[in-house]
Parts: sequence; C-alpha cells; structure tokens
Amino acid sequence: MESAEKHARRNKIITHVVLIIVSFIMLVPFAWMILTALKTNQESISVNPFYIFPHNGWHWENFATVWKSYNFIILYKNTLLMIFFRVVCACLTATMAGYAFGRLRFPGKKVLFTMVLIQMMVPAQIFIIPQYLMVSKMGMLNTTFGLVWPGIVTAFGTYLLKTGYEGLPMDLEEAANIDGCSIPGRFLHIMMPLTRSSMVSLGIFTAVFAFKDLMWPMIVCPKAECTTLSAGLAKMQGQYGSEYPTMMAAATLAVLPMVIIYVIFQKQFVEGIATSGGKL
Amino acid sequence: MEKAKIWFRAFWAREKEKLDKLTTRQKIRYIWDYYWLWILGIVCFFSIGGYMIYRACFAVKDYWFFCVFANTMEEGGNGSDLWKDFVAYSGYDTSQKKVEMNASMYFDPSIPGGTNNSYYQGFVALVESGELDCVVMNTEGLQGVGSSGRLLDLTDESSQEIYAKYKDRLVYCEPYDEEYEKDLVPVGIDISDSLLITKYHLYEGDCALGISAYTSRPEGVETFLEFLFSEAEEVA
Amino acid sequence: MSKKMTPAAKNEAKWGLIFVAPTMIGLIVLNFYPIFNTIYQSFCKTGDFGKGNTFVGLANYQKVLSSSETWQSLWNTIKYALIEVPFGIVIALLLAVLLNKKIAGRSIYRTIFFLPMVCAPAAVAMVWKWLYNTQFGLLNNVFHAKIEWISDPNIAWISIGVIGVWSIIGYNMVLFIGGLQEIPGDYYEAASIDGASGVRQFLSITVPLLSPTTFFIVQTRIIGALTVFDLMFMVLDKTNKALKSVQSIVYLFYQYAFTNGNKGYGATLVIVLLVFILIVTFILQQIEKRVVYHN
Repeated sequence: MESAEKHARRNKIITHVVLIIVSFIMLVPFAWMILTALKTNQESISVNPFYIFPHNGWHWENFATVWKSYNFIILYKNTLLMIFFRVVCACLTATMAGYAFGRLRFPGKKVLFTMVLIQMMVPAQIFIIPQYLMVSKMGMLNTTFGLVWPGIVTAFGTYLLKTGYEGLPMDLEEAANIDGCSIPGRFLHIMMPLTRSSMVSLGIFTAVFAFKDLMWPMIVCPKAECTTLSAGLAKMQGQYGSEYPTMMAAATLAVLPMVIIYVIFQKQFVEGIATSGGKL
Repeated sequence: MEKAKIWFRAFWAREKEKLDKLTTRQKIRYIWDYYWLWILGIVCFFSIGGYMIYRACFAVKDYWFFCVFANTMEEGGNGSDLWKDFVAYSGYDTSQKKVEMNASMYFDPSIPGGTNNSYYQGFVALVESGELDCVVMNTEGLQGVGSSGRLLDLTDESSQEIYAKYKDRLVYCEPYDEEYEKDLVPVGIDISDSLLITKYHLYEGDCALGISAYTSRPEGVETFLEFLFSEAEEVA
Repeated sequence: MSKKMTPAAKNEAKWGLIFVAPTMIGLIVLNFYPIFNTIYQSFCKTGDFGKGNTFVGLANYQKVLSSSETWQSLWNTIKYALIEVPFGIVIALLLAVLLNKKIAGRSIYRTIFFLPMVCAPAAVAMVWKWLYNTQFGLLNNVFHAKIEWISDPNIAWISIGVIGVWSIIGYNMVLFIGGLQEIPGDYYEAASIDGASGVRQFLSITVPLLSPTTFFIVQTRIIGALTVFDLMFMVLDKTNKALKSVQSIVYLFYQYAFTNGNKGYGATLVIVLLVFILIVTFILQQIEKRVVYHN
C-alpha cells in the first residue's frame, strides 16, 4: 500500500516538473512583452540577451503614457461589444448547423459540408475586398455591426460542433425519439446542453480570433471612437519610428481583458465536469 | 406550415404545463436557464438586422474624396486641422457625401519586408475596392506602390488635366510587370513643398501623391492638389 | 425530393435544411462569392495602372504549373505541415490529459498555456527573432554556436516549424480539454473498479472516445498548416537567404497578389492549393471511416 502511495507521489512530481517546464516555454514571449514595456527605449532595441531585465530602473510610467494617450475605456467597450455579438451569433448558427451535419440526414449534406471545409482551405486575404465592399455599400463603415459582419457565421465552429454532436451516444436520441420528442425538441433539450464544452471552446476561439484581428477593424472602422483595441493601437504599433516599450505596454494592456475572459470561461470548464448533462 | 403550427402548439402546451407549476420568479429563472443563449441570439439578430436597414437607408455612403496618408506619426485623419481646412477650402457638403482621410497606415514597399503587415493588406483592400482616391507617402514608398500597378498611369485619359498641370513634378516607377508597354511609368506627383509639409508637418523628408488606379473620382484629387498648393500661390 | 422517403425521413430532411440554412446563407454571401471571384480572376490578367482586366484563359495556369517556384513552395508547405501537425497534436494531447486530472494549480497552468494565443503577434515575432538572432540570440549564446537559425536554408524550415508548434499547442490543448470533458466520468470509475491502470484507461477509454475530437484537430490542423501564412509573414522578409526553401504557398500568393499586384497569378496559386487540399481532405475522410470510433 505504501509503495502505491509513493508511486502516486512520484507521478505527481513528474507531472508538475513537466508542466512547469512547458509553462516556462509558453511564458517567454509574454514575460518579454511585459519586461520590454518596463525598459527605456535605448535598452529595448539592444538585442543583447543578457539584458533581459531592465537595468536602468523599472519604467512603470510607460503604462501611464499609453493609458493617457488612448481612450482605453471606449476601445475596451467596442472590443467587448464586437466579441459579444460575434460569439453569440457564431455559437448559435454553428450549433444548429453542427447538429444537422452531425445527426440528421438530409439531401445535399455532403456537398454542403464540403463547402464548409472549402471555406477553411483558402487564404483569408481573398475575402477582405468583397466583404469590405459589402459593408461599405450598406453604409456600415465605422459601426460596431460593421465589425461583427464577417464573424456572424463560422465554418470552423460548424465543423467543431459537428464533431461534438457526433461524439454523443446514439441511444440518448433514440430514446427521445421513441418518447415522441420532435427534432427541435431533441436538439434544444437533450443534445445541445451536452455539447456545452465544445460551445465554450468555440466561444473562446471566436473571441480570440476576433480580438486579434487587426486588418478588418482597421479598414472598416478607421475612426478612433468606434474601432477595436488591436486597431486602435495602430499608431503605436506602426512599424516605422515606433518605440518598443510604449508599444509593448499598449500590447500588454490590450491583452489583459482577454486573459480575464479566459479565466472566467475556464471556471465554466471546470464546473462542466460536475454538472455534465445539465442544462445549458 | 400547418405541421409547424401543430408542433409549436404541442411544444408550447408542454412548456406551459411545466411553467404553470412554478412561481413567477421561478418561471423567469426557468426560461432564462434554458433559453438564455437563444434570447440573446434573437436580440442580436434583430438589433443587427434593424441597424443594417437603418444604416442602409440613412447613412452617408458616398465619398467626395478619400485619401490615405501612409507612414506619418502626425494627426492627419478625420477631424484633424488638415481635414477641416480642406473641407472649408473645397466647400464640400459633408452631410451629403464623406471626406475621408486615414493617417494610421504604415507600410513601405521600398524596404524588405515593408509590405509584410496588416496595414499593407488593408491598404490594398481600400485601393482595389475602388473606394480610395489617392495615397500620400514618402516618394520611394510611393514608387514601390506604383510598381505593383495599383496607381494610375498619369498619362491616362482620366487624369489628363492633372498631368498637364503638374508635368514638372512627376514621379516615375518601374513596373514589376515586364510586359507593360512602358519601362518607366509616371504614377506620382511630388508634393514635398506643399502645405502638407510646410503647414501640417505630416512628413519630414520628401513625399509624393499617387492616384489610385481604380478610382472613379479624379475631380476630388484635383481639388485636393489645388488645396495643397493654394497658399503657396498666394504668397507667390 | 423523392417519393421513396418516409414521412420521418422527410421531417428529418426538412429540419436538417432549416438548421444549416443560416450558416450556409452566411457562407455563400461572405465567402463563396469571393471564392468564385477568385476563380474568375485566375483566368485574367489584372489591372495594370488602371488599364483593366483582360481575359487570358489558361495562361496563368500554364505559368504557375510550369514554375519550379510553385512546386518548391508546395513542398515547403508540406514539410512545415509534417513538423507542425504531429508534434503540435501529440504534445497538446499529453498536456490536456495531464491537466484534465485533479492536480494542484491546473487552472493556472491552463491559463499559462493559453497565453501564447492572445499575445500580440508583433511581440511573438520579436521574441522569436531575438531567440534566433545569429549574433546576440539566446540560442547561439547558450550553445556557443554561430548557427543561422532562420537564414540557413537547411535549418530554417525546422526553426519555423518550431515556432509553429509552439504557437499551436495552446490552441490544440483547449480543443482537447473540451473533448475530454465530454467523456462521461463514470467510464473511468468503472474502469478503476475493474482495476485498470492509468495507461490502460488512457488507451481503452480516452483514445477511442477522443478519436472524433482528435480527427477534427488533425483535419483542421492539416488545413491550417497547408495554408500557413501569418508566421512566415512575421519572421521572413525578402532579403532572407533561405526564403526560397521555406516560403509557403500562401506566402507566395501574398507576394504575387499583394506585393507585386499580379492578382491573376496569385488567384491561380490559390486554386492550385485548394485542389491539393481537397485531395488531401478526401483521403483523410476515407481514413476517418476506418479509424474513428463512433458510438
């Protein structure tokens, strides 16, 4: 019995060592971003690796400079609004289509699903110009909904949720079918709640992609009052004549809400185990 | 349709039966628990749809003039002094059509890797969608943009007047496309001594203006060029 | 609709079509119109200084298919996929399994592994360029070497692949955790009561039940790796000696369509890539039918 306990302990230690090493590798750019934000401009452009830490004092004022020169409140608000609309729209359309592709038989299913896959196979650059023209012709430039527009449906999410629905046991739905539950009823009350963790993953991905996208907000919302964080910091991130410390301070401030959102969503994940099969 | 009605009635009857057993507070709770995502979805759908119709009917969509100032750290966008002065000079009514200036793009085709960024992709989208009228940037960068064939060959019919007026200020580029009829194409107008530099200080070195190959409004560019040289003429 | 369908099957078909309608309408408007536009462009020679499009038939295809550059970059893309897909998936799966157990600080680990996904791309590119720098880079300093990590044609594709693996682990891990959550916990309890060891449980429960998720990740990552662009875009520039032996096909597309303004040629490259990925996908779908476990 004692040896089993020892064994378990050793396993635990190995696990932690592995995780800590990987964490370190994953953390490097993030740490570097914050450390650069605290350096002077001179220090930041020297590529000598032995100056990892700022050696002329820690320049917290870089954050203050950035915070003052941008209206972060508005930028956060726009970004969160865009993410909210995109996540809700993408999750709903994808969960419906995913259920149909994963569970139902209908004519043209293969062709339609191939179309979903094709959307992922072509470089995203070819979509920009037509989508921009659509938004422009609808008079939606410089609006939050213009930002949301290309994200209302998602091919990736449809495929993800199709996989989620396919993985559920067949007997559940058959039982419901015998009970006389209609297809929408089965979908809403039985199947959809069970794919909750796939939906959370999709929500996280939609949010991250929407958040990181720089080009779309940049051309659709050039006005400072209605653009998102990533594009709002355009001046700061301009490659030419830029100052790394302020730029990195801006990048850090921009990333923080995303990290917070993930931490909150993650709680959903963990709780998901206990209440799996519960309501959505 | 008939079937859908029957289904809906049955569904509603079942839900109602469940709901009747609950108190009001529990009822709201129940509906929210099961359908919160759908409620949000419907709200989103209608707000997006409604707003789209509203904008499609009432928003100002067309442009008088649309210009990009690339690689400047100064304030040159909408609402800046430059923008206000130009609107006042040209007498354009901004409630009918827009005057758009974008001064937050950074790319330079004349240096290695200078087009490997999102700004350049955005710029290309603006040009090729036909919305953009002209671009102002450092002369070398403009020559790089010109080489890709995205700027108007100024000897073209649509820009005859501009060509005649600014003949002595032309900036030439070599096209990437070797099959093009000319080896050197006039694509830009040197504006290093214009108001843009002397009054608004957008650039430190030399700069040039190029007209988009896909524009449909060369008049706007003409007015803008006149504006840029207006005070210089007065002094002269 | 055929008359052979039973009412139940008809009902199913009707709801199926209703459910996919929003997504398909959206995809057609937002994505398929541009794709058809691209197909049309691939038959054209586009805009020279405002002189407009001219229809040139298959001339672009002839040029693209006879250029050694195309085949070289297609091969580069495959090499990249061969690094990114297997390593990215195996490492992410191991991490996800470790983090799905009840261990101390797992939410902290998960958050840390998620960080590279939200990091500013500019910061990521700068860190890696700094690590790989020949003169001052950390790697060369630690190993006392003078290796040109990203400009030596023999090494550069591996260095780029490593960045690819690094930036995709968190992403795959989030998906794997999602998949693991959907495996009912009682399966493991039953296995524990039967005395199955951790490794046995992993092989006989986790692997088969996770196979749909795994297949999904393999499929999307293969597509993702074959259309790799962002990474090369940040790290490589025109003066890089190794450019020819690392640039992916989408990078080549960007150089032609965006930097050089030759849209017709770029569009043709996209179509060639699309056909290639469709073939790969078709093979994968055939494999899926044999390998993936469906209950």
